[in-house]
Amino acid sequence: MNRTTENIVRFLVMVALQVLIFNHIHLFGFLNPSVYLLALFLLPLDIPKSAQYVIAFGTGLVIDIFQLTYGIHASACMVFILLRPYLMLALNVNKKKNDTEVPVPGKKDFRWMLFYTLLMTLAHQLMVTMLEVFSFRQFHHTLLVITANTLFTTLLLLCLEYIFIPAKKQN
Amino acid sequence: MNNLLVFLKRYFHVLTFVGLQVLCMVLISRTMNYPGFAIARATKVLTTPVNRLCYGVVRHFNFNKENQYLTQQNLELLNAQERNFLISSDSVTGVEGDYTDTLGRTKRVRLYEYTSANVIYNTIHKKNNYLMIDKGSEDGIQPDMSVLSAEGVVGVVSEVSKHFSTVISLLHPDCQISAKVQPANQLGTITWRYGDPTSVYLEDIPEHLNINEGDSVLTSGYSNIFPSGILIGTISEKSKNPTASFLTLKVALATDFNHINTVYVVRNLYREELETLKSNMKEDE
Repeated sequence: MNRTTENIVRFLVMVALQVLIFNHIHLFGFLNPSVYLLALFLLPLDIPKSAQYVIAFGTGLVIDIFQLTYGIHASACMVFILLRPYLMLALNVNKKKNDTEVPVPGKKDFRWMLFYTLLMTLAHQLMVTMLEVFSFRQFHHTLLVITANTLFTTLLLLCLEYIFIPAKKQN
Repeated sequence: MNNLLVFLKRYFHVLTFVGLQVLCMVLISRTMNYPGFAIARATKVLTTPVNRLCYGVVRHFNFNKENQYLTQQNLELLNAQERNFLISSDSVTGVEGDYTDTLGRTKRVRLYEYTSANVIYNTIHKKNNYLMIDKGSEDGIQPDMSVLSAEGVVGVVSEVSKHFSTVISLLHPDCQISAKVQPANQLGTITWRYGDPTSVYLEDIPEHLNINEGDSVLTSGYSNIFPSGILIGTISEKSKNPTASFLTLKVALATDFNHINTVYVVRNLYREELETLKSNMKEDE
């Protein structure tokens, strides 16, 4: 299975998972994890940036169509892709420039993965929630939603990564 | 040209990002109402005074049109007044007979009809004061029709040409109109004395009547020119006539003759009939 097919299949599976299962999870009324982010986390870094943006936009828009929040997830996903290389550079312990390897559990240690996933998810969640709420009223509640969603999504994403990707360790 | 291509190639991803973000924002704003309301509410502090200032200037340009609408509306309201009809819709007096239609409703016979006109010439400080209005015989204006303003009585039409008419204003010694003072309900005659364009005098009021400053002076409706109950002014001063037992009351005019613009000309539809009757009465004497 070449890389393109792999990414397309992963994209389809993650979007299906999100739309069919995780969109219907409303834990405590506001916990709604965005596990489809995994498709963007594992999107190769060496493809053209404009293509990455278009993919992110498409992914977000599909989620939006099912959540009836046209544009919010698409916008957040693009910010996610925008931040990804800079955050990787900032967190890169080796200070190796132009690191185009997608960070997966086998290549980075757990603390790095946790920190990276947490920050990326936070950025995405912040964007989505702020665009959706669009107000600073009852900001403590908004903050609670952002924090809880970020933590829950991070947990799910790490679980998925550690369950399905360790096979790559040998590469 | 080459530089442009290089630039585009280099920053194509930035352009993609910005373009798609804009698309996202457009989608958000098109499909969700709340952000728009939230922004409008947050920026109200700034927009309200600016809009008010702007509108305060701009609305002056529309006053002409608005005035026309208002005049039109006023005319309709004035024409619909109960006092313009000979037989009002009183269910007690006109239950059956000639005065009811097939549905049993009281037929209303119109006595007075209003049209609007603009003042094009006006004097107030001369000995005999006239106005000119921009409607004439082609618009149905005839001599001896009464002229009112929104505030009260203005005068009586005297000469009529094809497109214009002259009006003897209340500020004219010949303009003596029949009036009654309320609440005493006493008839008197309004006359003007040269000098003061803001007041006229009400004469022939018996001394014993209880009349106070501030009482309203209205048209009596007996002259067949003015409809009854139109405000002329309010009593501002009371003085006793030394030779006779009549009071002379100074009446502050309701109409500001200095700023008179739109007037309403009132036509009595049965005036000729009524005048004929009156002249017959005189011949009998």
